[in-house]
Amino acid sequence: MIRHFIWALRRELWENRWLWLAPSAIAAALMVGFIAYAFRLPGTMAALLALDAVHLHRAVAEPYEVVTGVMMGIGLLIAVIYCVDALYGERRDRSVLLWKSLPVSDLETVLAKLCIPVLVLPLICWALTVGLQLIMLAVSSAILAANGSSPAFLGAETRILPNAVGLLYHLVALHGIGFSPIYGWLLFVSAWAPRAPLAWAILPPAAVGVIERVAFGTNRFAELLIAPITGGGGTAPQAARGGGLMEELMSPSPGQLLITPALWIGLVIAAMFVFGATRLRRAAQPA
Amino acid sequence: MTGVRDETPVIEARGLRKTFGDTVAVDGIDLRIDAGRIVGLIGPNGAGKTTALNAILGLTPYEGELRVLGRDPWRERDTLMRDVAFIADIAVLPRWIRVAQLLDYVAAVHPRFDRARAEHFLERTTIKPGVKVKTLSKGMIAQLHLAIVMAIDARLLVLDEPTLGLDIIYRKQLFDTLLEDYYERERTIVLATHNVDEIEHVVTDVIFLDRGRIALRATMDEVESRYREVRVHPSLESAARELVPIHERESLGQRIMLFENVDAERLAALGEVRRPSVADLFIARVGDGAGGGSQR
Repeated sequence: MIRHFIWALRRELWENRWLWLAPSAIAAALMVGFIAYAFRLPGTMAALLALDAVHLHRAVAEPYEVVTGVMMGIGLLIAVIYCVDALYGERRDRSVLLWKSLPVSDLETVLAKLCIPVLVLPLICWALTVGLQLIMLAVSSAILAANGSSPAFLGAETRILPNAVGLLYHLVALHGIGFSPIYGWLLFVSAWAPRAPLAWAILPPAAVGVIERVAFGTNRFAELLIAPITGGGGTAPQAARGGGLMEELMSPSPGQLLITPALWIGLVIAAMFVFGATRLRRAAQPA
Repeated sequence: MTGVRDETPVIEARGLRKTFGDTVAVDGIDLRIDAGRIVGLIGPNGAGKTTALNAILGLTPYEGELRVLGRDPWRERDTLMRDVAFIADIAVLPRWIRVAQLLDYVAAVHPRFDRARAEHFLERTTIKPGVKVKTLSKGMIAQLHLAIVMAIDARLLVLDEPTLGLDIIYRKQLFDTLLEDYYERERTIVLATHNVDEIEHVVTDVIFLDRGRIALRATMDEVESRYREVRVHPSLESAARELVPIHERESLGQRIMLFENVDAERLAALGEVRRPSVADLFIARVGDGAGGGSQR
């Protein structure tokens, strides 16, 4: 039922305020760092404008791309921490008994929890990243204008709003849906682990990777984990192309992604883990 | 309570059994609880009360047949919870939540929750809507949880050790509220406890659980008519034992014997007769093994 699902999502955001507070704090810290950098801009204007187009673009866009990368990384880290505790935490504090005294199914609850890393966190990180970049642009433009330099080139070089579309796609489709088997695994472990769910979540896959590396000298298992966002090639998207940020964010394209077997196999695996987590929660006793 | 009651039992179990590894927590019990009763499920720690309740509430799988309000609780828990409200044995309200958020959430997901009624209950307390559960005392958390379940128009209310850790004032308030609500609405209440004394004047029926089995099941009227306790005159102890007491104990130098289904006039000839308390009956049936474990 949609109403139950929406309220279950709302409950997650009440309980885990750090889901938006932590990335907001990181964004604020990045903002402070950028302001310090921006005050040095007027002094470097002459050198900047002497650069060729490629180097000028790189020099201007780099802080914005760093912000994008940091916020993406933070989003992934928060998603992992959230998933590991999502079903374990309610057993640890015994609140699972309260939630299960209400007419909300285990599946509705688990799907709402899966929705946090797949949709909600990407949207939070996207909104914060784009918002932060717009503020950065406004601050640097104001500083340049106050020092008698024209800030017009900043907007052209940073292309914040066009890139925002690519970033939204990248965060939701690749970091969200693409990593759903990993989130599914983490929720499954969170529903099952008698204690120390983080260790149970990380150590078995890490052991598989290490054993494979030692025995065969390959990294196929690790490549498999990021296959949905690399098209199965095992290479991170930004390393595969020499194009701009928009091209990197939109790769693989929606069309390519939809015909990537790894995506569909991953979704099936995610569904299996969600099913398992739901069954485990059904019989869950306080940890 | 008034009105015509539905004949379908609220809870019906046949051969209900639950094991944890080699440990048998509930050992094939048969049970029927009809609508409109207040049932005390009484047993020592480890008797299987919470396990039986968990099965009834759809929180754990089980062997045997079990129907609650005509439903299979394990397969239909979320649907069943529209008509059942429960409070588990230890405070389970999450510490991070605000009172108002809790009311918002329950109001949004529970079709039978009456928010105004919950707020009315809370107005009698010092609990404010804006505070977080972690700032409340244990007694206040119990009041809050009780306000929520009382505001749910549930046909079955299950309370597992509801007074655990509460002081005497909160315990009295809890039972007063429970009884007040019982007389206002058509509902069935199951109260699990190991504290026999405090529910004696609340329940209409008692079920004694011992080592996963039912040691006694009776209405309070049956307890009153079936059992007699006699402070036996010292010279008549042998005669009294010929009437086969189900339990004997000594108090202030005199033998006190508990009889089942023995004529009151014959007992009066042996000494001072009185109705045994539920606690006395519990000790006789469960406490020291005299009759414990036998099904009635």
